[in-house]
Amino acid sequence: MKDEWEKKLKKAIEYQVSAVSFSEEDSRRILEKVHDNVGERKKMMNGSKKRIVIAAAAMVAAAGSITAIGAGRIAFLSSSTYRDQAIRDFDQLKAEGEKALGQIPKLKESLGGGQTFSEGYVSQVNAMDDSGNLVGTYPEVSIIYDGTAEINMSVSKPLEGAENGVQAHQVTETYQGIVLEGDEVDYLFLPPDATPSAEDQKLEEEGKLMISYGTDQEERKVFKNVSWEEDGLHYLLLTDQDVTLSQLMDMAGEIIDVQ
Amino acid sequence: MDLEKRELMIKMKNGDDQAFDEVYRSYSGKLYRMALFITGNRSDSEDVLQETFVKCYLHRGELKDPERFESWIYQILVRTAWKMEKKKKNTGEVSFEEMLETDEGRSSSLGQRLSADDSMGPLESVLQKEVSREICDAVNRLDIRYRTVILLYYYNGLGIREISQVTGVFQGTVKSRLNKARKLLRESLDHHEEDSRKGLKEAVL
Repeated sequence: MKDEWEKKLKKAIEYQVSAVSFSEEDSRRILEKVHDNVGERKKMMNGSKKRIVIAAAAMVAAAGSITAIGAGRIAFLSSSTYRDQAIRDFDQLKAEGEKALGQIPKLKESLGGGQTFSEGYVSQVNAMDDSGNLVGTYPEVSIIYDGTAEINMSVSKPLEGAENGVQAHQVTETYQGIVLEGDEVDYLFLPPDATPSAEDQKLEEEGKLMISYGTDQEERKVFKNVSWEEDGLHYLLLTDQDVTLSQLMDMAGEIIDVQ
Repeated sequence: MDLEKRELMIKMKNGDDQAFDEVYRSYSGKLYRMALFITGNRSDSEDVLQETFVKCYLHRGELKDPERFESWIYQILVRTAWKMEKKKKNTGEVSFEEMLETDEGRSSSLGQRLSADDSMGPLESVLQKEVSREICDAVNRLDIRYRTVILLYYYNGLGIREISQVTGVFQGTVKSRLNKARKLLRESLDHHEEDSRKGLKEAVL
């Protein structure tokens, strides 16, 4: 009796599911949407990764004394890179980087902490004011090193006419006459439509937390960065992994030593 | 899984876009139907199907065993559907449209399409068709989690352990949901059967 009933149940469900129409046209239309959505999502994912670097770069270059250019103030920076634009050949990256920056950047294929070049990007960074108006663009070369701990590095040519105010950094060292500035910063990454808590907003206002939008879910990270300027180029080393500021300073020294 | 399909999965996993499209074409119909069964309306099921394949594309490299593709994609589909349902509940949207009634010609022919037992008399046969239609209506009235378990068990033919993996709940919970769903369906159908018998007897007399 029970088996008979279950058979009927199974039959009814199989019919109910299999009788639903799903045309080829529906299938094609949805596949197109899938690809469109994937494109957007990839752009966002890479953009998010990029924004991590950029947000920190903005902080290093501008926090406390917002970078000013002309009459405008740069409120935020944005740039998007696509995974398919990744350059995986180090020499090619150097050549394309030189072309974009207009001079030879100091780049290393491996770092003393056990990291090796994984991939790189050449892109244009857009600098915008509070209202989202484009204030200027500048070229940037970025590298992802992997190995014992992932390290991001970027080299950019600051905007012409940009003025950086003086600001305090948590660690400052001098190497070969070049000032290295290091900071550890708490970051909160949120989905695009999320609202930070009152507590996080307060921390942001106090300059103790950087809030960035665009991730799939809420993430908290501590970023360590070391930056310096050499021959008109701005260099930044950044990581959220188990690497100390002192180790980043050593890596910065290795890059400065590149001939 | 046959060798050809396995190779297709491996190609897709390794980033071959053509292979991904082919996998989509092979599975989209079945997954759409599953999504419709779970969500109860076409609009949501298209969204679920789309999101399922977006996730499939973005995370295809994480597919450990190509042989287990179906479980993996069912898992994505079910969780996407549940997440969507939860979001709709939170925003107060109506979550269910009667699927059979919106599906052209479906509701009326369901009983006829189900094969009736030849040994049945006319009255029993009519009742049987009615019961079959009522089964579907009763399933549609179940909570999304019960509907999902019913779908995976009776349509996909998954066992308790596999359903547990797909839905991310304990095997005991799957068992209890399946039993409760059966009980609810049984009660609903018994109740309907009594009403139908009364109605038919009255009509005959």
